[in-house]
Order: sequence, then structure tokens, then C-alpha cells
Amino acid sequence: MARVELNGVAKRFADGSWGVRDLSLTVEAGELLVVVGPSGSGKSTLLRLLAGLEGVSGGEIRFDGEVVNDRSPQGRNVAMVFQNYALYPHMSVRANLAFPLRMRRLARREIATKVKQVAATLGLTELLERKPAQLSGGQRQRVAMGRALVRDPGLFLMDEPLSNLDARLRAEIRTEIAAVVRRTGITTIYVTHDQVEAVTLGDRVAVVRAGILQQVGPPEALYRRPANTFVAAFLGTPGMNLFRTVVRRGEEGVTLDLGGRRLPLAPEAVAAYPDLDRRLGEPLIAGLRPEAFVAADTVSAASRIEARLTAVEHLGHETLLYLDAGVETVDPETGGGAPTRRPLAARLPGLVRAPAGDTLSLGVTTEKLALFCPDGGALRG
Amino acid sequence: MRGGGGDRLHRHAAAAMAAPALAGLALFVALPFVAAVVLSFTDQRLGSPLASRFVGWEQYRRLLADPLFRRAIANNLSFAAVVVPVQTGAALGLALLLNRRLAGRAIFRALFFLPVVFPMALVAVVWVVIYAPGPSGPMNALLAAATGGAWSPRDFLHDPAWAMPALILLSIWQGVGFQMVVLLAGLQAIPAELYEAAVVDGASPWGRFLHVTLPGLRSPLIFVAVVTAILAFRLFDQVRIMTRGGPNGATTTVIFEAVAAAFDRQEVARGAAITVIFFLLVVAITAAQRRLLRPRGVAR
Amino acid sequence: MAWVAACGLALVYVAPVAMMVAGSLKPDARVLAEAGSWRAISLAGASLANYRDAFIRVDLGRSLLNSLVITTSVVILGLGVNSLAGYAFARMTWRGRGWLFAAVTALMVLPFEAIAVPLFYGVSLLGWRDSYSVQILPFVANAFSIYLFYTFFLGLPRELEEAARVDGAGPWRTFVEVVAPNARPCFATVAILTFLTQWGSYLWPLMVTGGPRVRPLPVAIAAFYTLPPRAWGDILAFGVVMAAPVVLLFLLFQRAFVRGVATTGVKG
Repeated sequence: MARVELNGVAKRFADGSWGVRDLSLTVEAGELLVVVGPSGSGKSTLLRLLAGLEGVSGGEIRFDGEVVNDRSPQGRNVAMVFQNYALYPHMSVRANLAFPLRMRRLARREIATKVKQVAATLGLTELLERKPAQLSGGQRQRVAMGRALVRDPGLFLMDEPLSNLDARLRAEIRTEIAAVVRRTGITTIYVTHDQVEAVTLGDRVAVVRAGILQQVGPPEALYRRPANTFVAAFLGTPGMNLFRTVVRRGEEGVTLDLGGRRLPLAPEAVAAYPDLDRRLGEPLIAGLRPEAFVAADTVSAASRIEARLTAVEHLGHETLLYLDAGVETVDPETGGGAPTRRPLAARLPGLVRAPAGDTLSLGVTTEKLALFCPDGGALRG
Repeated sequence: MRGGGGDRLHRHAAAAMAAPALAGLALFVALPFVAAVVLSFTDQRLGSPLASRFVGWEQYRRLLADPLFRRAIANNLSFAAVVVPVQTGAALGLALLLNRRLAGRAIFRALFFLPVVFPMALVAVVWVVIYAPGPSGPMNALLAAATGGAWSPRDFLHDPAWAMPALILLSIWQGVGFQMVVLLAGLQAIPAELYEAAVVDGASPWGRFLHVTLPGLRSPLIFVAVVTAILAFRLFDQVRIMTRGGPNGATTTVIFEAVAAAFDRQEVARGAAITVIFFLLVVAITAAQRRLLRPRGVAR
Repeated sequence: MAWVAACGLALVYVAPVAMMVAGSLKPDARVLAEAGSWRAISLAGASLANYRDAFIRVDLGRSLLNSLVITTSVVILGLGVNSLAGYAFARMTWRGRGWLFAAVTALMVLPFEAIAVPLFYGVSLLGWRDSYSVQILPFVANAFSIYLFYTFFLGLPRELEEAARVDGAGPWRTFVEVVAPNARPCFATVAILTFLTQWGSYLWPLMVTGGPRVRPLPVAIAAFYTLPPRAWGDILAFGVVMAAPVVLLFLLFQRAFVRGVATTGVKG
């Protein structure tokens, strides 16, 4: 099980565009790292660099301390599950599973045993003689997994392996993948554009954007303390509410400006940002998760806001409210840009009966407030 | 871009994969072609003990002054002038016929296409029988029956007026299936909605042919015409087997003259010069195709 | 109406073939005598004597063998050599790829007739005439075949090859085990086009073969037909033997034949 280190890895394509820029990252042996980012963010390029399908333009890639930059894919002992599975259409499931072993020149008997084992673990025993065209999406997915697992790779690369499945199957196979990866203990790097997949699956999650690593860490850490506004808005559905604010200290204590109203800042939030004192009175960006909004009667009068409802989504176990709170929102891509006034999203448990257009009173909790500089980077904690 | 060890392996494999084919093309296509150009400026003969001399444009000058060679070019041109429109038109007719729902359509298609797979040498020999002189010759008998006995039998392949038409007829018979298949594929690529839209717009069958079918077939029609034109200039097998260029040069062709010069008379330099002229003719036709296909940019 | 027209035209296509087959089965003298009437296709008094004569008088067996050896060699070698080149051009990165590919496509416009004379001169100087190899080697590498393979390989999903590489296959194994098996239609098309061209080839073997030893069928039938006395029954029997393999292949693989020819048209 390899420990993977990337040191200032860069990939520039022949047309001059960047796939990955100055990316440094360590994946511990046996870890499941999920790389997440919007399409075109360079996450697939990163996988292809790791697999050896593309050569790096700069930096180095190490497996267990050894530089592998110049090694061909077959010399890296990596396995890969492709987005479209890339099963060999002319081979049966059995031949597909045996292929990587044959390429390794294993004895025939050994191949047969390993194929049988892997087929049994993944529930493919009945399907061994079929051709890929005769399999369902989920079955193809499993064969692709099996083909990757059958040869005990040092590193397991998965490129959006669930994107071709329907929603129900996706959840099912996601748990299956997690179980298999944990059981085998193979270092795994899993690429997806789906942040739900990322946070439910990864030991750690790396967020990339435009070829640049934004933040890497355990899902909770990324959710709680995003490194910048991009990560803040990218994780969570809906993402973090971002708006311009000023923090002040007065006789009522430390306050946060929300659309002209001054909300008292929870001591936890003040404690989380020791630097805050030096930023008082300066323009900042505040980040509030939708669940920071609560029913008005659970907080003191000072922590309540009045806002007009622009839209309501009933999800059964919870309700999403979109509020016009008179704040200037921020474009998460840049942190700056032209002033916008998008509604804030609030998530309340249960059914909230309120029609759009009404004005509603809601409480705001600031314990988990995130603060960013005007350039989008997190305020130093 | 930094090259890795794996990449080097990859590049070596690529070079090794391409090498045999590239070597073959260089040795057996590119090199002979260059040799043709060089030889055409000499007086090289095969098996001659004399060293070859550089003679400049002499071979070309002689060729263009030679009535037999001029006859050959004229024959190729007249062959093309008849075969290209007639064969393309016939192929279009057959394709339209087979594009309908017709009982046994697959059998008809196979039949019309069959001569395309026959070796031309075989077709030529069989048609020698068909053109046999005297009243028992099939073509003579057919024409006699068609004219109610008014037809007087003749020896087609040895008649200066009839030899070329005889070759033309057989060439069309042999080749039309190819064009038909190409045009049939083109017809099937025209979306049915276009015809439906034309019907809704009140177009007559003729109008639909003119405004939907023909524009839709533009590219394949040009392609077919060009291929046929090039084939017309490559004309050789039938001539060599059936008429040997005769009678009296009535059926000689550019390639027939090239082979006669280089192979029969060992005049390699003259053959090479004819080759170069032939190549220029082919290039001219290909260039014309590119030009025809460019303006509207409808190439599929 | 259309059907009647189709049948009439079909007759034009069936008649010469029927005449050939019927003529090959009857005595020489009757072939021409009966050719002008319906009896041309009558099978009365059919016998295989002409076939026996053809095999004895001009050694049809020898020519058939020559044609088979030459054609299958060109087809098999050509499939290997041209598919590999097409693959190298379509999917691999190497120096010179761009301009070499441009050169290959440029050679496609060059008909064989444009190089026959100097090639003939070259092989004559080398004393290479009258052999199998002189009829095989010049036709193995083919620019058009390379182009057909190239376009086909471009359309294959790249992920398959990448999966094979990650699974541990080098470029050659990838080609043999993953790419080639998924390119069967293209191999079939190229095989058929090559086969048809070679089986019917007349100009080149005419120039480089001096006697019956390595002479293929088209040259042999042309020589046979000028050999006095002209025995039409024997000649037509020869023709039937010559046509039989292509017709058989055509009937077996009609779809591939038609597609092969049509792709050459569509791609042009």
C-alpha cells in the first residue's frame, strides 16, 4: 500500500493550458482521499498523472518515497477505474478480470484462483461468462472494480466511477466501494465532481479548482473551516451563505453586520479568530451555513432578523427558505466582483409553513461563523 | 515537456509500428515516382549497354509530337467524356430504383454489384465472346433481333468505329455497381424528414428529386464522378486484352502506350515521361474535385 | 413498373455470367455457335471436360495456386503492416508523425499506374522479375489502407487503451489484445479491398512474369485466350475457376463488401 507524495506537480498541455499547477499533497498509505472539484478543474488530469498516462511538466510524484515521474503506467502498480469503465468489449467478464494478471505473466492456475476470489467478493460469479454489453450499469461498475482489485495494486485510482449510474444505484455502490476500499486497505484516490460523494466517502477531501489545490482535510474540517470562499460555497447543498460584513466592538460586545443589523457574535466565533481584533471595522466576508438560521423563539431578541421570503422548498424532514435579508452577497469564485443581492439560504428542521413573499422572523446563530478577507481567503484563525 | 522512460519506450514502439509501412511506401511508391521524373529526362532503355544521357525535355517533345500518343490522350478524353456522365447517371438510376421498397431488393443489389468484384481480365475475355463477329455473336444477334433483322453483323473489336464504343459499354457494365453502392449509401443518408417537409410544402416528385435528392447527393456524386474520371485515365486491362490498342490506334490509351513503350519496346525513359503526364492528369482531376467540393462546404 | 425494370436490368447482368458458366460446360465448337441464341445458356450435353482440359493445357492449377499465394500474402502482410502504421499515426506520439502522415495522405492520390514503369525498370535492373516476392512486397504497404485504419482507430474509445496500459500492457500488447479485436470491421474492409485489387491485378504481373511458373490468373487467362487454337470452352472454364473464389467470398461477406466499397466512397 503506497504512500503517495506530490511535490509541486504541474501539467501544462501542448496548447499552453494548465491541467494542474504547483500541486503538493500527501496521501498516507491505506488512506481514501477524495479529490473534488467542478468539471475542468484538473482533477482527472491529476489522476492521469498519477497513473502515468500523462507525463508531468514539473514537480515530482513519489510512491513510497521513490520518484515515479518517468515510470510507465505498467511500472507503477496502479489500478484505475474509468468513468465509462473501459471494459474490454470483446472479452468475457472472466477475461476482463484475468487481463491484468495475464499482463503480469502470472501462472494460469493462480490467475484462475484470483479471478474466482474477486468474482466471489463482488458477487460476479454468475456473470463470469458474459460480455460487458450483456451487463447492467451496476454490474459493469463491479467488473471494473474487480479488474482493478484483482492484482492487489499499490494505488487505486477511481475517475468518477459512479457518474454513469442512476441515483439509487449510486448510493448503494458508494457504500460498497467504501467497504471494499476499507477492507483491502489499498491507498485510494477517488475523483468526483459530486461533493456529497466526496464528504460521505473520503477520509480526507481535496478540493481543486482550475488546477490549483484549494484545501485538503477531513470532510468536517472543510465544512467547518473552509480555506476560502470557493470551498465554502462548493461544499454543502446549498453552499455556505457569503455576504459582506463588518465586525465591530461596542458596548453590546462584538457584533456582526448583517444587512445593517448588528448581531451579537457568539464567544466561540470570537475565540476562533484571535486576529479579529486587528480587523475590527474593516470590510470582511461572513460565511453562514444554512443551518445557522433557527426558529426565532430559540434565541434572544438581539439575534433575530426580519427577512422577506423569496422562495420555499419543502423537503419533508426539513425546509429550505430563501431570504432577502438586504445583504450584499459575494461571488464565491473570486470573493469580489460586482455587488450582487442573492437570497440567503436557511435550513430549518421539519415543515415550516410560510408562503413566499411573507416576511419572517428568524434567529441567527453565529457559533460556527466563518470569516474571510475581501480577497476570498479565510481570516487567519 | 519532459520525456520519461516509459515515454521513450512508447516512442520506440510507435516508430517500430510505423516503420515497415513507411519503408514500403518510400521504397515502392515514393522512390519509383521520383525515379519516373528523373528517367523522363533521359534516354534510358532497358538492357541497353549504352549509358543513359540527359536529354532534357526531348522525351516530352517527342511524345507530344507523336500522333499515336496524341490519339491515346484523345481516346482517354473521349472515353471519360462518355463514361463519366453515362455511368454516373446509370448508377444514380439504379440507386434510385433500389432505394425503393422493392421485392428482392437485396438480390438486385448483389447482381448489379457482382461484376465489380470480377477481375477485369475475366470480364474482358467473356465480352470478347459477346462481341464475337458474325450473326451468332451475342451482341450482333441481339441487335439483329432488336432491329428486326436490319442489323448487319460486324466485328466490333476490329472495327475502327465500333471498338471504342464496345470498350465503353463493357466498362460501364463492369463498373456501375460501385457507383451505385456509393450513391445508395448517400441516398440513405438523406433524412426522411426532408422529403416529408417537401411533400408538405407541395413539391412534386420531380421537385423533390431536384431540391432534396440532388443537393443531398452532391458530395457522393462529385466523388463518384471523379473516381470514374480517374479510372478512365487508368484504362488498360480491357485494351490490352481485347484490342491491343487497335485497330489502327482507335483504342490506344495513355497507360497502354506507357506499357507498350517501357515493357514491349524497352523504352523506359519514354514510358516514364508518359507516366509523368498521366500523373499530372490525375492531379488535375483531383484538384478539380477539391475545387468543386469547397465552395458550399457540404463535404460530409 | 420499377420491378419490371429491375428484372430487365438484372437480365443484362445475369446473361453474360450465365453464358460463361454454360459455355464452360459444353464442347468448344458449340460455344460460339450457340452464343447468339437462347441455347447459349442451355445445359444440354454438359460435361466437365473443359475443366480437365484447362488444368492440363495451361496448368490452371499452377496459376490458381500463384494467385492464392500472392493475394493472401499481400492481404495478411498488408493487414499487419498497415494497421500498425494506422495505429501509430492515430494514437501514438512520436517525432515526425505530423509531416509523415501528410506524406502518406499525399501518396493516396498516386495510382499504381503512375509508378509501374519506373518500378518495372528497378526490379528489372535488380533481376527481381519472375518471383512471388516481386508481386507481393511492393503492394504490402498501402497508403489508403493506412488511412482507413487511421480513421477507424481515431473513433475507438481512448479509455480502452489507457485501461490496458494501466493494467500492465505495453504498446504492442495493447494493440494486439485490445485494439485489434475491436477493429474487426475495419480489418474486414481493408482485407476485402486488398483482396479484390490483388486478385484482379493484371498490369504488374503482366510486366514482371515471363512464364507460367509464378504467373497469376488474370495474366494466365489473357495468355490462354491468345493461345491457338482458341478453345472457348476451356477459356470459359478457366474464367469460372477464376471467378469462383471472389463470388464465393462476395456471397459470404456481401455486407462487408458493400460497406467496404461504400466507405471508400464516403470517405473520399
